[in-house]
Amino acid sequence: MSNFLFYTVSGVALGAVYAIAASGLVVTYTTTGIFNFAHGAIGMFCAVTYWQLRVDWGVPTWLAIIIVVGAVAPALGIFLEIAIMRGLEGTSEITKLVIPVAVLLALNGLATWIWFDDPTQVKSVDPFFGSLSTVSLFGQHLLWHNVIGVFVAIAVAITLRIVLYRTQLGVTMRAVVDDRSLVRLNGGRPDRAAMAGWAIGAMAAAIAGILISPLISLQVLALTLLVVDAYAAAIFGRLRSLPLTFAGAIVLGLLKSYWDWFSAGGTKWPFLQNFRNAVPAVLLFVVLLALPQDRLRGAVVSRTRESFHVPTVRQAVAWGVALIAGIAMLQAIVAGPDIITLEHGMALGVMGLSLVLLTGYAGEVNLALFSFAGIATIAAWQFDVGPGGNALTTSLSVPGLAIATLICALVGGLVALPALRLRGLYLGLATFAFAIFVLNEVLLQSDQLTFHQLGLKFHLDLFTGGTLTVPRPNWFGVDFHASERSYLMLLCVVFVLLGIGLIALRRSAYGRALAAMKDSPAACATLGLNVTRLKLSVFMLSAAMAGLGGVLYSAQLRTVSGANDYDVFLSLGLFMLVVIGGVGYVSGAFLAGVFGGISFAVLGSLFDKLAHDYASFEPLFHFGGKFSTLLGSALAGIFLGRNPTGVAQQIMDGFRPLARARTAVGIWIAAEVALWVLSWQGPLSHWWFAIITFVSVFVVPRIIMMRYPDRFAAELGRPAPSDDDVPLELVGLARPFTEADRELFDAALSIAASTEPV
Amino acid sequence: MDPVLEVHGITVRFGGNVAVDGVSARVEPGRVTGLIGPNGAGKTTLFNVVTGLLTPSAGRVVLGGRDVTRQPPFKRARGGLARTFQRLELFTSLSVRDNIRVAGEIRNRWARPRIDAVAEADRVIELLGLGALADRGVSEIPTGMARRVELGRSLMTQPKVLLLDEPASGQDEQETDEFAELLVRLAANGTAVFLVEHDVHLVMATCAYIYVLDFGVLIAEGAPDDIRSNQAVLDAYLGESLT
Amino acid sequence: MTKIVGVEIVEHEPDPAPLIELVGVRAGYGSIEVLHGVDLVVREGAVVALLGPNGGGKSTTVKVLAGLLTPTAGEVRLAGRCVNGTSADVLARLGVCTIPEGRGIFPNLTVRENLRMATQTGTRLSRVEETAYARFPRIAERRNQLAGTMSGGEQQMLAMARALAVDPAVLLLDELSMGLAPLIVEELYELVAQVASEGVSILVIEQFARTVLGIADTAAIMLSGRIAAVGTPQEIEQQLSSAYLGGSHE
Repeated sequence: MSNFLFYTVSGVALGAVYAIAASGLVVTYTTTGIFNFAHGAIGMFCAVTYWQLRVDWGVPTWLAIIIVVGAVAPALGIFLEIAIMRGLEGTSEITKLVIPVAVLLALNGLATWIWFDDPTQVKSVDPFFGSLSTVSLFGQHLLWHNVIGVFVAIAVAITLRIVLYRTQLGVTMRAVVDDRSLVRLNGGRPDRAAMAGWAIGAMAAAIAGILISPLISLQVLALTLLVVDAYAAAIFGRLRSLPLTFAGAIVLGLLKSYWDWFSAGGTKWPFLQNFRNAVPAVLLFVVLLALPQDRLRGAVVSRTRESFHVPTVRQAVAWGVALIAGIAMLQAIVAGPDIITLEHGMALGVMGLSLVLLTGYAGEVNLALFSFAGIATIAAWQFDVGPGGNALTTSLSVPGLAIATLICALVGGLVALPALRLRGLYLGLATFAFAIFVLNEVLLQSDQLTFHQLGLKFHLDLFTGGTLTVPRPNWFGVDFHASERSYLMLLCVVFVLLGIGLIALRRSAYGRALAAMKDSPAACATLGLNVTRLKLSVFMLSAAMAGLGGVLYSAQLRTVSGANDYDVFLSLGLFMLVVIGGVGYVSGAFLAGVFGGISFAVLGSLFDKLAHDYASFEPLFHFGGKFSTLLGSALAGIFLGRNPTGVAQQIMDGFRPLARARTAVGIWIAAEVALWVLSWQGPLSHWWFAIITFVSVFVVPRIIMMRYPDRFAAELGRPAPSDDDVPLELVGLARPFTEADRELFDAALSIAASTEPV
Repeated sequence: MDPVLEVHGITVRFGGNVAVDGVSARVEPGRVTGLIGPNGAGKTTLFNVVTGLLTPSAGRVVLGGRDVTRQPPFKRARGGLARTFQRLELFTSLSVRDNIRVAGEIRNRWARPRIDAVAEADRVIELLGLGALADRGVSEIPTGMARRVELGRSLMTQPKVLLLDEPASGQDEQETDEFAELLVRLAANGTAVFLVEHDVHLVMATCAYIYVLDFGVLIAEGAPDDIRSNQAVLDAYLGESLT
Repeated sequence: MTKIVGVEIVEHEPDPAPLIELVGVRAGYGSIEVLHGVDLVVREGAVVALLGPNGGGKSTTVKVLAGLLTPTAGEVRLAGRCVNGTSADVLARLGVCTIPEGRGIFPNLTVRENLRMATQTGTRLSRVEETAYARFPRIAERRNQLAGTMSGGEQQMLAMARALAVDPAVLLLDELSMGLAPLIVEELYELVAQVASEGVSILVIEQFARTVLGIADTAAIMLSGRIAAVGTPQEIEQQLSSAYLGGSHE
């Protein structure tokens, strides 16, 4: 009985913290329509700021709390709203998801940079009044900290109630949920309501972060994942109702606490030792199953129109051949370590293709790509190597790869099933919860698992010892263990084949059905399409692709760590990068690989090299290196993620007009090839080759257009030469002399038009 | 003739409002049945109930003699029901041709024998006079034409019952006349057409039987001539004069 | 503004200044243009009825006037000043009060909270409540009820109450009668007439209603994004039934 009381009270205390966090999430979501994936990250950032003030600088606790909750948090929330989130009204669901994800990654990068640069240094915050200060209740000694937490939660609930129902601002915030434009017709300012929504959300995250950091360790990961606990609680109220959210939070706190009791702190069943952290994910799935079916969504009237050009299969093959040739040429001139960087980028690109199918073609979301990669890797390893086997002498087999892929498809189906009846956001949340579950139950499983069943003894190795050595293929007489260059080419060929396959799929009846479903599920249903089944099939197919890419990714790394190489943030990051690249395009996945695997890594090492070579500027270069590795991609996500069609389309649109100057483009390509030969044969360093190529991509199209101003009048932002009104005597000064002018002069001066081209 | 679609006592409540109040109607094959009424009378709501996009608070929907009230929309579509939408629901990432073609391909997922979706789409494009626009994106074409694309899309499933929600709005007079002819031809081929339309001229010209809704209640039903002279209908449309 | 039927009154004083003017306004959604050059004038203290079938662009006209939609060409003038692109909340605070199509209320707020939303134009809550409850005692009884659970007529009364409590200079009414019983519509329009007599300029949008002609000074018919006819209510009434029912009755 006394145990029951103890764990109940602890559970309520924990639930109180979740309630605070979840209420902030709900307030932001309902007033702005943006699900703040960065909610936990904001809590983390505020908790570490609190540590900075209270522990590092010795500011009194009460003052530190006032500064963080009263100033830092609301300022951060308002800043995010004004600088980033305000522009998202009327954009697509995907954009509304990817921008908060980018903010999450940016906050994590920033906190790592400022506070967690040195992994050996452990930070901790004491509970309020110290860890020995307890109060007696029902014969139990309770930490004052926990008691305070409960009272704070009650205070937050009362305050929110008063703010939302008794103040003009709060009523406006609720009115915005009902009808945004009617608020404006009433003379209200929805912007202010949104700012308040973000400020309140951030304050709630800060309070939760401060309360929870003494209970769990002060780490980026653990605190950021507070968002999962928060939304598992908020889903009780369908992300709308605050009272149900509080109830859900208490249920979650109790479940976690009772789990501690039944599992004796996680020691009873070794394979469930981390299950505590997976409880919110499990709870989320149970609640999703119980939610009633959503109404079928109609076509979304979006301010930003997404339309993707779909290339023909013939074009795709041509581009594929060009890509393989390009990579083959590139690998010939770069050195060993850079080959591995290229391989890494290419592997990420292969994984990213699964998102082109799922998000780009079908409009659904998967935030657990690397979890599927981890599962597939284990499956392939079990099949091909097995406990006691030697991965270095084993070939990755086609059946092994097929089984890994199949398992991912099945697991993907199970993950997606509960959320498919619901809106797209719920599938995103479910996949992220799944990622947390896999992290705790699979990837962090560092002990060999032994089961006694039916008198038999099973051993199961997941990440025994924390790492796994993954076999590479030994196909077509090529040993990909031995040669990084050949493995790079293998990845490239796989990417091209999958890419062509995707484009063929998009051009098939199945692909058109996906596009139709993405545009209007309601219309599809009235044509007899079982939308749920189509969603399920495409999710399974994409999970299978993620698994296939994942095994190749793991094989590229050779030795993988369960805790680090399938990190949940990697999944978020790749999702973001594919959206930046252009989620509707195969080339978008390629660009994601370039961004994620290559560009920021190259920038980082370039800065390191510079810092080493020029010691006097070391701090500056060091800063640049940190900036590009920790914040580069997240900032790119914040600035580029809102372009719904991505960088790929921008690049293509930029180059398309050049078809009008084929000769010049031919000369350019020939010059590039000549440079490559120089680099290949030695005289030109591959760094110079890379820099010249990079610059020429931006400069040469411009030069070509300037060379033929009449052909590119529109691109150059000039009126077409035919209808300009530059006085005749200024032609050649005010604007370049053109063919048309020459004819005009010839005609005026009665000179027969020359037949000779200029 | 036996009705292919019947609704019995359909009631829909939103919060405290009754949007549709105990409406019963029958739609028979081989003719156009009209559903008219002022804005907000509950016409589109009734269509949503019939197609399954909305669950009624009370009442039954019977399609081809089977009670489908509990069936999801896609099953009803497979039972021979198709519709267009007042607020357009086109597939904006596809061209006009592909919008129509994909409907045939979706049909091929559930109906046998399969149809040649490409050839059938070409035929429908020809039928609806969309040839000149066939390869344009659907967001670039005028509303009147977009409504025809929706009609073409629903024809691809070869429906027994066709629900049209304001198909003529956005079309000019001549287009509307062509459209009326088309509807009559469709009905003559045995399709049961259920038409919601504000252009009363079109309704009178095509419908064999008309239901009139006013704030959720069926206030009149009958042949066009009866409806034209019905005082309740006139009041509903023109309001009671204060002068 | 009483009219003496049968007696021609020749007005010598100049017309009141235009309070709202639309000059060659074009507007639409995305690539689809709905208004193809609309010219319309509402003079101070006048009631203008804008009639016409669905899809003609009446509601879009209201959206442009209310500031919810920026015209792509032409000018919207308020008291002579161009207000193109001025946001809806600024216009509301300047005295342009709009009751949009559907119910102009917040269904998940209580009646009191709905009235509270009206105070953003500067009127005190107590005064707003006083005015509203005095005009509509039925709403006073339901002050703590969620607005969405009231009947359609009560919701429309609440919307009117909100609009009237803030002393607007201009009132834009979009399909006030939608889905309401004729008796309630009549009540509402009596009220509109009363408000007009207090000097408020009013633009009334209706699809099917002779009712509104009784209170209008000027009426216009809108077809396919253009003003098809403007005239006295009597003149317009002649053309009405043909605009709707294709001349096939009467």
